[in-house]
Amino acid sequence: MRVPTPGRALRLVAGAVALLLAVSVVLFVAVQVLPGDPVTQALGSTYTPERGAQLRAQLGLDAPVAEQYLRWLGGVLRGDFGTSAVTRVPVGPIVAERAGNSVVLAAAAFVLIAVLGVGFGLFAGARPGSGRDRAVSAVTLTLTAVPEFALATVLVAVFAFALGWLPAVSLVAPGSGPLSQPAILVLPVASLALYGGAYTARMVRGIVADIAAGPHVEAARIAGLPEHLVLRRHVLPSAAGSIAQVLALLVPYLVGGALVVETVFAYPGLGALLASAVRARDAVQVEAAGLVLAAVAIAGFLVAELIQDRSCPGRAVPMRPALGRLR
Amino acid sequence: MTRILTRRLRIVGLALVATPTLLAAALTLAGPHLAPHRVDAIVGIPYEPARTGLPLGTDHLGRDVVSGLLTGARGVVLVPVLAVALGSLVAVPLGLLTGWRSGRGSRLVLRGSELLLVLPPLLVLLIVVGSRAPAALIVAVIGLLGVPGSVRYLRAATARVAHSGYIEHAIAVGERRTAILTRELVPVLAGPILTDAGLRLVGSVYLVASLSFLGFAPVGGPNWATMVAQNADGGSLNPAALLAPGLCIVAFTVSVNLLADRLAGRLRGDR
Repeated sequence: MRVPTPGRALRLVAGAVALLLAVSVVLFVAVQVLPGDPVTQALGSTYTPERGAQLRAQLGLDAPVAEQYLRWLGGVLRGDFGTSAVTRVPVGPIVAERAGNSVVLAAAAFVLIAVLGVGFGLFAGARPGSGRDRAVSAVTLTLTAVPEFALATVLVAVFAFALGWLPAVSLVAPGSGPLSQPAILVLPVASLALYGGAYTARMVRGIVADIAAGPHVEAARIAGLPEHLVLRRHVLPSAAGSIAQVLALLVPYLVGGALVVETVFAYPGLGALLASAVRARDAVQVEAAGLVLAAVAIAGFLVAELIQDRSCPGRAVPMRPALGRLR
Repeated sequence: MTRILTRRLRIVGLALVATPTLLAAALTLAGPHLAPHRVDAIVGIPYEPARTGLPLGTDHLGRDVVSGLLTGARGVVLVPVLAVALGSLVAVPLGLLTGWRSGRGSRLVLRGSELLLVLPPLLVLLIVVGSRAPAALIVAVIGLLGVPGSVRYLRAATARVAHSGYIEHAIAVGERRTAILTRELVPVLAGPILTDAGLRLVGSVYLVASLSFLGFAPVGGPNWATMVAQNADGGSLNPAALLAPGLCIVAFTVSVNLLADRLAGRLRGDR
């Protein structure tokens, strides 16, 4: 393993911050400026020029666009995401609560995906071309094809409607967290983990299969080393960096997956908030949820870059979401 | 003998894998004409279970589920195909150029396209939808989201052939750049170009289906994914209204994915 030079690490972090700023500009322009005047929409048939001017001044929409943007960004940095023109309440507290719920869901899914993905990936990749490798590859290829909402629908039909074991929607009582009723987490986590686990297993399988075909592993096997020691001493150490990178890139995946899965189960997370805000044309909420989700995705990507820098300089990144496969 | 047998098995397997995709394509063309009822016609009460004349019952508004299924292939087939075609218009020239000429411009294109890989595509799409972009722009964005991956893929494929003798020969003979691209590179790279389009189709179908499910279908009309979303509440009253479109989506996406994977595997030389 090589430790990244501080200079390169700093450059990567600066790049990530610059990208996030660029995203914030695009987001603000796309949501606040392009769709037209939010005040006329919010007031609807009660619109009069005086009322419009009043609400516009109240929401700070009478300033030039650049000033509005800077004021918004300044607020965001202080944790103030502005006031929604649709609901007329500050968005910050809602975003904070929703983000907490999403973290619970995503963390549970992440752990399950990591265990399943690395486990099955090792199991299949240690013996490339074997029967178990082909079986795992066939199942994971099929699973990675199915959109989360379709998986979730099937799970709901079976476990909620047919068997009645688990709730079909994941409502969280106001004032309590999702952990007070763990049953509501099961189906959303399963929906995320089936795709994520299958994808991770495929990536890990590829990494491990490359290494397992190498001469040092063959030599260890010929020398009669037990299989678990071959894996632990000769395969895992060289695979660890790439596997860690695969796991870091799960973060952007979970951001995208949360958009769909939270909506399916009406789970009160940030992804469902974004989807419903887009539907309600609530610009301030779209900006807030969009920016936080983008920041999380960029952070995951940054970690992956830093890991790549550490463990395998010059080696092609295995898990770049190439080929349009990663969601 | 066994060789003939395994070959036959392989053909049967391919036929099985390809059937849902072919069916979806056929329904895209002919489905609306086969539908027994008009898609928007109310033929019963909401969520009516199957009965004679309505083999899969009715949906949340009391419309015929079978007619919806026959008509709804269009929404999940046409837009992805269009998006892939648009994406190829950008990805193929960029991939070939960056693979052939590794100068400063190529590096810039690569770095720029990597930026697009950072954000989850669905997040980008929701923001585009939130800006009330017209349908054409949404389709274009779906197409563009696949471009960065394609550029990397095609660039690698191009670099493998670009430094072989005959391209250098063409340069030496004085062929013009565009001629080398279209006459020398594209024919040799037809396989990778097609495979890349197939892989991009997988991603586009996923994005269009998920977007439709969330209620933001790029084009209106019935659509398997929107049917799943709309009938989710009636799962206990008429399960067919929910499960039939769900199974159509699953069969179609799995089929497209397996076909693209076979294409890619064939190119890698797997048998």
